[in-house]
Amino acid sequence: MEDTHGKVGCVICHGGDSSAEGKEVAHVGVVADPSHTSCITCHSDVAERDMVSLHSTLNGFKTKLEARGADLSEGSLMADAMENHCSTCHTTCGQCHISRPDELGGGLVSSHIVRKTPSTQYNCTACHGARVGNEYLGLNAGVPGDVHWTKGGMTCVACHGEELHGSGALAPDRYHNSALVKCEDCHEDVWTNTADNPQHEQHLGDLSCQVCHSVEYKNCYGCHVALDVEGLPCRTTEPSEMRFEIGLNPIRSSEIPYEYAVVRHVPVCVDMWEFYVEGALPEFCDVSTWKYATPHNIQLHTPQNESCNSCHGNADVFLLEEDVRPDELEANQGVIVDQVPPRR
Amino acid sequence: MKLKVLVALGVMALAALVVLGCRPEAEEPKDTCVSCHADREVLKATASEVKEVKSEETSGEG
Repeated sequence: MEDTHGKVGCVICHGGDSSAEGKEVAHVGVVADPSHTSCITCHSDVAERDMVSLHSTLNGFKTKLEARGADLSEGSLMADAMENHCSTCHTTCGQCHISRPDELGGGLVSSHIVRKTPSTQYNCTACHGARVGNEYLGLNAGVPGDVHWTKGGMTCVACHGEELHGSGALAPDRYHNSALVKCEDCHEDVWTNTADNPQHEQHLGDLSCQVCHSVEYKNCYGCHVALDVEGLPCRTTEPSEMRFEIGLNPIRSSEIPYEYAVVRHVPVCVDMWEFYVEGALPEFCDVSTWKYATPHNIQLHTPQNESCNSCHGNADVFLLEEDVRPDELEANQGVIVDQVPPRR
Repeated sequence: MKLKVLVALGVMALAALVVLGCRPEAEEPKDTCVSCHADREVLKATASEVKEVKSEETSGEG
C-alpha cells in the first residue's frame, strides 16, 4: 500500500466494489489482470506501444507461420491450433511487472509491488528459459554463462529495456524491430578503434559478433502439436542438441549486414501441425529451419577466435550440406555454407 | 439586562459546542479489498482454486 500504485486504490485498476462486505458482491466487475486497459490511463505512451509489441502480439510466430504458407485467418483451423499451443504465452503489463506469467502459473513476484524492472528469474527466464535463459546464466552443463552476467552482473533489462515495449509499430519478428538492441550500442569502440585488434580489422561487418564470441548453444528439433484423448493441448519434441554452427546470414540487410552468422535450429517441421491441418505449411521450404541467432553466451575468448585457422579450413564450425536433414535441404539453401573459407 | 443577555448567549454557545463535541466522528468507509486481501486466513478460506490441467502426453523440451 506504500507503493505509488497502492495509493491509487485497488478498484481504480481492478474494478469491483471495495465497500461491499461479501466476496461475491465485492468481486462483481473485477478484472484480475487489467493491464493495458488500466495501465494506459497513466502510462499511455508505454502501454500503447506495448499493445503492439512482439511480447503482447506474438507477431513473430504469425510471421514465420504465414511465411511458410499457414492460413491464420480468423476462424481457420490453424488459427484455432495456434490458440491452443502458442497464444497463451503472451505477456501483459502485469505479467512482467507484477506477477509471473499466467502460462507458468502466475503468482505475485514481490507481493503486489509494481516492479519497474521485471525479475530475471520469475519473469524473463521463466519464459525464455530453455534456450536463452540457460545460456545466459550458464546452466548448460560444461558451457560457461554469458560474461555480461557472470562478470557484469547484468540482468536482462540492462540491455533489453525499452526495446521490450516495442517501437509502436508492429514488428514482424525480433530482428526486424526498430527498437532492437545491438552490441555496438555499448561497444561502439569496437567499431571505431580496430587498430589494436587484427581480427576486428579483418572481419568487422562481415561476421556477426556471435561468430567469434559465442559458444555452443541449444538446438531443437521435431515439434509436433496435437490434442490428447481428453482434448488437452499436447506437444512432443525430439531431443535437443548442443551445437555451434556458422551459416550464411539468412536475413542479410542494411541493418544486419553480416555475410556469416551463428545459426540455430528451430523445432518447426513440415508436419508439425498435421493433427489439425494436413499440409498446414505448404511453403515450408520458403523459410530456413536454421535461423539467424544471437546466443546469449558471449565470451571474450572462444575456440573460434583463438586463431585464424580456428575457423578457416575448419569444417566443424560451419553448417554444411551434410549437417542438414535431407528434408530440410531446400529450406536451408540460403544458409548452408558451400565452401569452407580456406586456411590462412 | 445587558449582562443577562450576554450570559444567556454564552450559555447557548457553550451548549452548542458541547453538542458538536459529542457528535460521533464520521467513520472512514471500510475498504474490504485491503481488509480481505491482507488477511491470509481469510484468503485461504475464500479462495477458489483453479487447477490448470496439463496433458500427460506432452514430452520433450518446450
